[in-house]
Amino acid sequence: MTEDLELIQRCLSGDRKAFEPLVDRYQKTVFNVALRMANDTEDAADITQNVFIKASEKLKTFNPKYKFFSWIYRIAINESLNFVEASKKNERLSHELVSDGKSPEDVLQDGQLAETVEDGLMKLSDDSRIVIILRHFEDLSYDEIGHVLELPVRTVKSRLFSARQSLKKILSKRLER
Amino acid sequence: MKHEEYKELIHRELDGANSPSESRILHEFLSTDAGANQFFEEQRRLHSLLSSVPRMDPPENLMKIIMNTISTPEHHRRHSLIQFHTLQFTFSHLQEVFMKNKLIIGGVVAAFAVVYFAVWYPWPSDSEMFGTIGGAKKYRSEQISDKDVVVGNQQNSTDGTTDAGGINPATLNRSAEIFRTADVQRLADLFRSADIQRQADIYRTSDIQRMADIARTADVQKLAAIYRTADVQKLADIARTADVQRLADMFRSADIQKQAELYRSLDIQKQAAFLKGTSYEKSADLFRTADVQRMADLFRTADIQRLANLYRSADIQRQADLFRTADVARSVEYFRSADIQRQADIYRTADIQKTADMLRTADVQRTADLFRTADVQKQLQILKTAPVEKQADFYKSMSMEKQAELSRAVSQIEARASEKQ
Repeated sequence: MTEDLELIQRCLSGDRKAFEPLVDRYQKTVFNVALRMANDTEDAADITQNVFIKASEKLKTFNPKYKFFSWIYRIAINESLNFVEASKKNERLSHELVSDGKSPEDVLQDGQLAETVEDGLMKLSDDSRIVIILRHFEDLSYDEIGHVLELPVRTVKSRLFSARQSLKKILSKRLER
Repeated sequence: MKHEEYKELIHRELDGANSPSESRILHEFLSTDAGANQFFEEQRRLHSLLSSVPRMDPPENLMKIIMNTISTPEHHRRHSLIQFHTLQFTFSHLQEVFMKNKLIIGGVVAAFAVVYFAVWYPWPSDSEMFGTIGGAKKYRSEQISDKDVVVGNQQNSTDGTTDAGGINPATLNRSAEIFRTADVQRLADLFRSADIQRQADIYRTSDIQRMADIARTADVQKLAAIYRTADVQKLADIARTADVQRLADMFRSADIQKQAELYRSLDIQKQAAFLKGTSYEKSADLFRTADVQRMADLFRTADIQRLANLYRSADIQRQADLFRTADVARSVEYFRSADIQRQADIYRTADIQKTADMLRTADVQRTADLFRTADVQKQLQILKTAPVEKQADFYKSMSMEKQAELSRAVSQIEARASEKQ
């Protein structure tokens, strides 16, 4: 698999097609971050589109000493925050979502669980929600979250632990089961 | 171990960040401290709950749309001695040209919604219309039998004279007649309660041309009255499940005047919600197959953000084709009547490369004509809101010949503006 950096260099030298593998590689990640932030599939698709357009336009500002995925995450989060700020809407996820490779029973079960968690997530502050999304849904390490959010690891941990406490209180009924 | 210390170890343990020795220390501590153990279990359950939330797949066509948006080819950038002389006014002009195209896209979006209202939506609700009409006729002491209430394949069992599309011509004609004479309130009531799946079934099996023909004969005021009371969510749901090619076919055959009247009569909130409920790829597909004049006629009512996004995903060749074939006088008229804020907002979100590509393929005379007839104040207002680098990139991508032509037009405008002052 071609490395991100090589693809970026090809893009910068005029090969726009080289951007396609980057989109393919990261669109699901970006979409899911946007989805958890915006809580709406159409909005998440819009945000994802905007993220890659911005990434394409600003590619020359990308610093190769950092990882591309940190950079694209940062754009995704900023775009999502802008969207949330602009819309201030917390609609429930639609039921038409398609999860990958699961049986209908699993989807139903997951759907109920997801709904519960999403309700809880939307009650968190944006800062708290972001660290939960990056750690639990995107499986980023403390260091990686720190890179994406440009925060010291100590702050990441403090924010994450505090966010979990808040979420635990919100989801207390579900957690008692 | 202190309270905060073990809590951090627990968090780190569940995150897989503890070293083996830290992990061993923690578990030894947990076996001796009930409070710590309870905290550990609570956090473990939270982790488990969070991990049960599935990752979702993005829409199938999203990558295609993204790549379509950004994959315009690199172009050789030309520079000109008159670049700085003409920069400001040229960009006002270019913005205008560009804006016109944006507005056209706005028309597509608006038209897309209107198609639903004017053509497609009545026909999915055709079944409801029968039901409705049944109600209305009952109210008027003219009962409609169950045989009239036919949906999709049911028609085949009730009447052997169905057409190829699966809709009984007699039933269609009758429905059109009934529609023209029915009681609006009853129609509206039933419209709101219609079953989406049923509408979708009929829609998928029906004959497009016939539907369009009947839609053209319908009474606008009545349609408008009904659609004003329609349920937005339902419209949006249907929009999401509709077949693009069919919509496009119907769009091309629909009556523009009727569509425009209907759309204008709708509540803004409803228009916005409806447009929002439509997926981009669907709108973009429609855009690519739509009729230019129709789009232009409808542009004024569209949603900016959506227009901007659609524009970014539109096919450049199509944009260029539209530009070349549009009527100048009409474009100018639309430009003048457009809201300045909307123009400015759209401009700010535009993709430079695409705009530049479009401009290169445009007819110089048309560009100049548009520029000469535009309102100077409006051009300047738009210019003020545009970022400099966007203006510069745009300008640099033009040919010398085009720049020279435009420069002459700018000079004329400048002279006229000076005379007025």
